Amino acid sequence: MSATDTARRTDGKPVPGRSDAGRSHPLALARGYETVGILAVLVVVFALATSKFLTQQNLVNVVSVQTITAVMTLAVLFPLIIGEFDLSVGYQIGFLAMFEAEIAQHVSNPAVVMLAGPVVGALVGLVNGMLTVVAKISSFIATLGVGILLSGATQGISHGQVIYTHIPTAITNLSRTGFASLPMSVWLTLLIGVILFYVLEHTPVGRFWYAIGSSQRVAYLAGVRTNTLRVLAFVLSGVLVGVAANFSLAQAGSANPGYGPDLLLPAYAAAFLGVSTYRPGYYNVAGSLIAILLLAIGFNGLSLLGVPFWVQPIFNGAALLVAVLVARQETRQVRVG
Amino acid sequence: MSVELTDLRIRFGSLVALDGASLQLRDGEVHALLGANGSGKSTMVKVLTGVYTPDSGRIAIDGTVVTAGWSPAAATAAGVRVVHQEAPLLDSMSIAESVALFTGYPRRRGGSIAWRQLRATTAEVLERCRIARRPSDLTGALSGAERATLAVELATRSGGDGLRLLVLDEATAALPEGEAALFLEHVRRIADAGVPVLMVTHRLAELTWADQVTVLSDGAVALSGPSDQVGVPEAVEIMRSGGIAHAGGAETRTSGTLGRLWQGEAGRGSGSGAVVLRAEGVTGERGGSLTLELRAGEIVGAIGPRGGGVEALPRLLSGAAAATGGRLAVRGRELPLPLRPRQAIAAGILHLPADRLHEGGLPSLPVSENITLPDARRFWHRRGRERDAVRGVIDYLDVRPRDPHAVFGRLSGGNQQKAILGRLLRMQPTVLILADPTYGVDPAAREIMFDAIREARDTGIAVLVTSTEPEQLSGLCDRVLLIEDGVVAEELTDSDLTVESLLARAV
Repeated sequence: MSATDTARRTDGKPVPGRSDAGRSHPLALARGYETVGILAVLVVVFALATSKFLTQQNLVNVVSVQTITAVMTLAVLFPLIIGEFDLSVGYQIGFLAMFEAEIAQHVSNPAVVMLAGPVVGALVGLVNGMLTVVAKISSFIATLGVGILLSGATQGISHGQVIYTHIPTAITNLSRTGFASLPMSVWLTLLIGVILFYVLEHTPVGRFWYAIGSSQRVAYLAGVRTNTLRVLAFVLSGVLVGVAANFSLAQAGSANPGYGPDLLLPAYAAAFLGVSTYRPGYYNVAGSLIAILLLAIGFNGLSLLGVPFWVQPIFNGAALLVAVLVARQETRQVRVG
Repeated sequence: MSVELTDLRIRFGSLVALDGASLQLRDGEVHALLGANGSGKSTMVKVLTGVYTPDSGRIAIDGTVVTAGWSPAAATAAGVRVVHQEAPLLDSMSIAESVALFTGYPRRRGGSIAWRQLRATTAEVLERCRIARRPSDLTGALSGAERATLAVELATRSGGDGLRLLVLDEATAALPEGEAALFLEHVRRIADAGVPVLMVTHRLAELTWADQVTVLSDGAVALSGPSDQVGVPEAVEIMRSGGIAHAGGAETRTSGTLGRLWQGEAGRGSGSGAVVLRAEGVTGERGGSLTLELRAGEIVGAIGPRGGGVEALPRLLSGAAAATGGRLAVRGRELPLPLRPRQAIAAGILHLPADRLHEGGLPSLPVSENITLPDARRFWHRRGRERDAVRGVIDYLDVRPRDPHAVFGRLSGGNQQKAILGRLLRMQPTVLILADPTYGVDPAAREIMFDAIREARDTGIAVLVTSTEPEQLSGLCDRVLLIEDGVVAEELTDSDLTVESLLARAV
């Protein structure tokens, strides 16, 4: 209980709230945009250090490769916002890519193949959501269980073999053709980002998701359909993983049974890193996308400068910790787990 | 050990918490400390335990002045032990392990836990407390009184055997009246062993049970003396008037009316006098059968002993807890039972929950979103309208800080409560259900809230208010229901509606 509750007010002077503090700080304007600043610095430094960095081919390559991570990050964003974890996404993308590849062996219609991932992803998300919301299992455990189960299914349908035949060109073209020199996958990722940004920031459903994340009980008492919205968050996550599976098929031109689990942690790292940007203290789309760019540009520049391959995880881990420390005031409130 | 607090003064910014209060605690005496919320009780306890340092005044132990260097560590070293309302016990572990949390685990040679010894210690603790449980029983199985008693016993043992002064900070507030006996007997045994006991309470029964009584009002001692010389009516009168006369915040608030909050729309309140809510035999999980009617344009209070059903009433009527039986109708339209909160809201029943911390607001989101939350749809693509609505609530109820982007969880209790009340009023309730709205709220904020509640009544809203401080309801309510054993046992109106009668019935 604060002093205000236990003492009487002697005059009408306002008791200054903490949110007023620091308003006049000279760097206050930059608050929430530290990562953008770091990104700009990196671009300048790399541009000066190597002529190979600021070329169209290099930059297009950087963003094209990141489309999978970007969509995976958006996929984990929804469970995170409502205060849950979805640990199945890594196994899930591997499964969905393999499932689409397997469908492609039997069906020639590329639309069926391309939709198979998002649709089955939605079903997986529905299962995750039902286990969490209806069966009331901790989402951490439920999605881990579903993920492990899916990894078995991946091995089962592929018999442990890489599938590289009959992948429809409509899929592989996603990362080969496009306009304005950027492939379709990049434009699609941006489109998804814009839609999700709008949904989360500017629609009641988006605000209800954040409300659930802040306190599920309060949201329920306020009349929010908490159960429906929580399941929906998992379903959306599954749909997005399905989209990411298409991008991975497009990029690799094949489905590998060992693919997927490695994508889980980078997706979460980018989502956490995104908390420091745009709306400090909250998981958000804009921050997450900037975080992915930061990590990608950082690694790309370093590798052009000739650093060995093992520097990437070291750079990623360090960037996450530094960014979170810089924006510590805001990020400390975020409930992780 | 005798403890003397003399002429304590302490300010927090513009707030005077203690204004020359003194207190004397003597060996073997139980001293009851009473006062309305905001009278300085908690501050007094925190000075005694070293949490706050007084701006001026003197703390003396056994005649030695210790004011300089008084700190939580010094207080603990001097043998001061505090027990709060919530007993910090581990529900999902055995009683023995809850005990070990305080006393430490006894070890065998080699470092492993000496379970047999721990069980023996626990058995002895339980026997001293006269609790008929085994050390291996789950802590969660203890009754409220047993928990409180055990917590006191453990507090006396923590940090060695150095108990010299026991402070009970509202330790009985959560106990049903009938159960308190076990606890009070135990406290008396501790006092009889020569330890002074300070008991912060607002139960009148404990006022007469204690040896000495001090009543605080506005940070100063209003009444003090042996309990057989302090009259209950005087104490009650001080607790009631305390704070209310000093509601300075009321003038500073920007004038505004409910109509402005509704942005030009007419409220949903109907003409005064019509029955808008009718509950017949509404039963909750813990039984009971609540039958009552609320009329448009009246404020109805509900009081009663803890555990008697008064806490369940707001929850059952608003859908926060599932009703298992009975009938509920708003404006003649039957509502389904069990009721979901969203159905209750659609019918115009808006509820301010008692558990502000877990059910009231969204702690990590801004004040603005807490104010617009339940019907964000109304404000979709209407940013200007949303800003006006938020501004309106902040102005109307004088929410501080006035920044709509302030994080809700960082507001003081009173301001959180005002923001939530504002949210409900903005939603044009037919029936407004307020569960203990002024708990832990400073007097100025309370008066602002009471004014808003009265204005809501005047526009034809039916209001139901419960309170753990019945003395506050006399000036607010048109009638008060006494709820006992899950039923409406008595209705107090007009001349029966006095502070004395309310207090006498609530305990």
